[in-house]
Amino acid sequence: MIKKIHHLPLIIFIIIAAIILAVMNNDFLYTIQDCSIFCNGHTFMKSLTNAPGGTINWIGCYLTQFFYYPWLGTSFLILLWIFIYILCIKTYKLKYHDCPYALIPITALMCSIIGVGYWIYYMNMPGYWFACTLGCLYLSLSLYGYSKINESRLNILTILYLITTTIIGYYLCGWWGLLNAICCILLDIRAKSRIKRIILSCTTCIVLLISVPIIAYHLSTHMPIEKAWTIGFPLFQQNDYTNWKLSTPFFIIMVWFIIVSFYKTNTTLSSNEKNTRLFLSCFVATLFLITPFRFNYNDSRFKSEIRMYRLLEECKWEEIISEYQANSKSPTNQMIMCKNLALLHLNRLGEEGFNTGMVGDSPTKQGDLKVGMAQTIAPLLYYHHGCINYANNWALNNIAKYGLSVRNLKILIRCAVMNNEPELALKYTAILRTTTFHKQWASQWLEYSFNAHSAKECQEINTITPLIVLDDMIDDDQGMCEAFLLEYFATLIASTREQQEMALIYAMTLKDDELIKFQIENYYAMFGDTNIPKHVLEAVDIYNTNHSTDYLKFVQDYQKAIGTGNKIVEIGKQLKPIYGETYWWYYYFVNKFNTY
Amino acid sequence: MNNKIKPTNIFIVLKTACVILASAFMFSCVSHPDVPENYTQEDKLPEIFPDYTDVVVPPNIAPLNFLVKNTEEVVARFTYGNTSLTYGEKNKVMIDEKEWKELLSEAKGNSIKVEVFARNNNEWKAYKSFNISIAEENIDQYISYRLIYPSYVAYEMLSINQRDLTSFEEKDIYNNEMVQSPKDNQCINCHSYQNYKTDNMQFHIRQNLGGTMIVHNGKIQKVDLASDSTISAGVYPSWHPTLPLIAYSTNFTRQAFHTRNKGKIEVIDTKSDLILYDIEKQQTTTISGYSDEMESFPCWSPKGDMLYYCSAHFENNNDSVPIEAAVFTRYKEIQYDIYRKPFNQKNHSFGDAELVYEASADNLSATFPRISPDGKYLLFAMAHDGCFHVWHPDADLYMMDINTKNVRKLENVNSDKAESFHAWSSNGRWIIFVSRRDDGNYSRLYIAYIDKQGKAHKAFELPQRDPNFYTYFMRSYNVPEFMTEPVKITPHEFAAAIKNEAIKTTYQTSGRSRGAQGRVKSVKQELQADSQKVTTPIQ
Repeated sequence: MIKKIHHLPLIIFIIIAAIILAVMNNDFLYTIQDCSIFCNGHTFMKSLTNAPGGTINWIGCYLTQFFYYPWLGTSFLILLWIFIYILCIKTYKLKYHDCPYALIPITALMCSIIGVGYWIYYMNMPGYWFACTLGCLYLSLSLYGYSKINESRLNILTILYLITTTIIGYYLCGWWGLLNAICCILLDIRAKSRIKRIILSCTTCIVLLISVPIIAYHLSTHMPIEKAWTIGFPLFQQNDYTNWKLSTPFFIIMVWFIIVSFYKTNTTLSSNEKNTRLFLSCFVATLFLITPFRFNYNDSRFKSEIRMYRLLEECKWEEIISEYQANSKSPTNQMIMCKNLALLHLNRLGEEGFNTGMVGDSPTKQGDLKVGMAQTIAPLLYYHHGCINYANNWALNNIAKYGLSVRNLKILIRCAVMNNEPELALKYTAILRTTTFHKQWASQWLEYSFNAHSAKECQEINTITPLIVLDDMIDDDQGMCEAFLLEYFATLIASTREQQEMALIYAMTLKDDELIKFQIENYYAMFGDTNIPKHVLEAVDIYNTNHSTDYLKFVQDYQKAIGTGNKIVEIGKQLKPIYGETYWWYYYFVNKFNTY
Repeated sequence: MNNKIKPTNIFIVLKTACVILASAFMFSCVSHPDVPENYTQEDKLPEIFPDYTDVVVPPNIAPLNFLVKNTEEVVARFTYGNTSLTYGEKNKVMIDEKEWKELLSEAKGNSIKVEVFARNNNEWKAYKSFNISIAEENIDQYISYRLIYPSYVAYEMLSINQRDLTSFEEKDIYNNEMVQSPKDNQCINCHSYQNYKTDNMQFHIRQNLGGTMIVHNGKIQKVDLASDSTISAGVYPSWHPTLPLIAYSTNFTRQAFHTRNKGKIEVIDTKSDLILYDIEKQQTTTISGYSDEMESFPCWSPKGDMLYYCSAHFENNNDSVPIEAAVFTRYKEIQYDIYRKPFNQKNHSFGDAELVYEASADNLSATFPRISPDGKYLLFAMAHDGCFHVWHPDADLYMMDINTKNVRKLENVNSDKAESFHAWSSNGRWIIFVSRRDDGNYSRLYIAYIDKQGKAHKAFELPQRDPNFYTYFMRSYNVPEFMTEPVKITPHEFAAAIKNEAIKTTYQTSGRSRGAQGRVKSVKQELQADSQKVTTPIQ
């Protein structure tokens, strides 16, 4: 009976993996493919395969694109994991009571995906999401082959196999190839091969471990010598900071393969011993199956941000507001910027901009990773603010630093179309058209580029065009997208409704009295004095000599609270239930503008 | 079950491998498609990319592979004398390298006729034929250039490459990926050579591990050219043609971004001077350091007796505004003129500056002077303002006849997009330059023939094996330089040398140094005193 259910842990694993990936991380998986790309062509292939380990990156990119349908990508991943699981059992001849141990490497592989969080914007590891699984698969296959050849008495064949799989493995998979050499030797020792053969294998292995990376370094011009031994090993680094937690799954895989390659289980166990072993292995496997839930980056604001990015791309304004309001935690600045754009296009910014919240937080800390909007959303935000060149620059910067991605390529296409650069649009769309799932989008935008009539009917273009400021100036945002946009619009002499509304609300956000007065004048000059939105009237109230009774009441309450001697923060909290939805509250109590 | 591998299995594997290799060989053989028998004649040139219609090419250039836009199938027939070759693979014309070389050597000094037949919807069309003229003079076998994303911020993916123009072979001279870390990165730039030879060459490393890599007589040195008396380390270099000297500009450079203009990036010097570096003495001296002049882009004359350079006159009238802020506010006023200074090769001293071309008088700015190897022509880039013309869509190439001072725009060479970063081949018959004409954003290399009368012929894009290469390639080419031989130092040797500490050079005070007394009077004031101003009309 126990024997019959020895694959039960695997079945449980499959269910858990499907739930965690395709259900809990559905939006994240879509974002993964959006931040990656696979272009069908020689140039793209060459760009990835010119360094050792690049081949699995290239195949990884190919498979990553299937996260366009998260369940499809998940299915591929799970299939590969099952294959690795089976190969491990066969290679190490694990008995049913030890089988659950084979879940450890594949669980680690799952953790390596779901724990990434904000690092998705800061990792330059093309195809990472499948590459590690492919590396592990190569290792498992190679070791399976070695375990079979090992049974022969042909020393030369095993040595040839060791040399070939290490060199090919290093070329295709980077460090996995070197791990393969170590595990092969351990398999030799485990198989209790003759001492002469072990010495021969060990010598070959040491020579391979030293020489292969050195030779590869001298044949390649794409890696530093220090990285030659760890090429392809995922390290999550930003400036001085390395997030070792995210690399832990790979250390676990490495240690697991080393231990099981070396450790030979006793085949003659009593029934009781077998049951104890089964219990123990199930316990360990259960611990590992629980791990993904702990490892999963489940920050609700991060998830909201990635959903809002997608909604912003599709100009779904009402849904952006709904997503914003559905979030129970205090919003990030990025979410506020998206919400404001949505309100602007719904013509509600002046009415609801401040009462829906204008004070944002930094993203939840993920170790010491410094998250900046420049990498997370700046290209799209700039684009939606009509700052086409800045959107273009940040999309290009992010591509240069973190690799080509669908989302940044789409920004470049949009910018080329909005800037009336058809040849450039043609170039970028030609690249995007080599992808599997974004061809249609590319063709549509190519049409916009060459056909002014169809461009005029594009809702997105019509939305952004009024925000484009025709006058040129030179400036530099220093990577501070939000601060730049606020100041850029606050100082603007607007020529359209959208620009003027944005200009006034952003001036009010900055609380610069001169700019607010300037923009109020411009606002009234453009719109007259009818149907003035709530927040604008509130701002006018502050500077007018004839104050409204509501404002006078607020001032009265404010002065009364001041008289109590409480700190301004306390007073703010005290008055928030009554005045929290007014601009006055923002003007008097929000003193710190944090951006990132 | 017997798990041993049988020797017969190995033979099967070997046999299969042989079959695969043989198939690969068969596929690699050149195919010459037939020209269609039935077609309709079109009275226009085919839309080919890159545009090689009616160009003049060197007799040692790599095959001019091209594609025909918006077609399903294409056949191109190249005819010279009795030789006629046809090529075509879907919409691409991929020419066999060996056959191309033979054809070029036969047609040297004459023209090859190219007929293009294209099929769409089972209907073949024949386009108006065009010629590719083969010049008598070869082009230097090698060029080098820097490959960079047109973002100018991320440095990881920077490389200086060399390309064999007679084939498609491209190699890294140095690739920044070889010395990089998540924490520290560096920019690499301004590679240059002495007299087209690579035993004497240099390029800069900026920021992390910064310094100038100087290869002198085949040996690498990393030097630090910065001193308290100079604005910066060396920037734009020019090797003296015979002596171990390099003239550099020293610049304080900032970049900014246009909110609307298509020339998206603006690179502005807020200060600049010229210095001379003596490689053997490891010593720098100031060549020109006027306080209200921004001198840059040095270039030696072929004999080494004259140093050409550019200088922009800029006065900050408002002391309360820092010079950087003033330059940024008034950047459109900054216009560079071309000057030269005589150089005494015995005592390494410079004479007084002479105005060669006053671009600012025409409300223009001239940069990057390059003298032809025969000393007859001065090639430069010119746009309305500024010093970084590769991002100025109005930047074009101009040529001055040094004897007559006659300046003309190279009409066949220029486009409506930016042209800049030009260089002469060693025989003076070819120029290579950077142009953004393909799409406005990515700079590509173009080559043009300059005949004995100094006439520039239609420029052609650097050929690539796959004509679609430029479409999918997302990096820009800049600073192309000709070489008559490849760089012999390996990228790994450069990488190792870059990690070394830079040798600190010494600064030798000269009469025109930026000492405690500040910089000397304006070069314009000197020139006005001399009343030797030369103005030249633009043709």
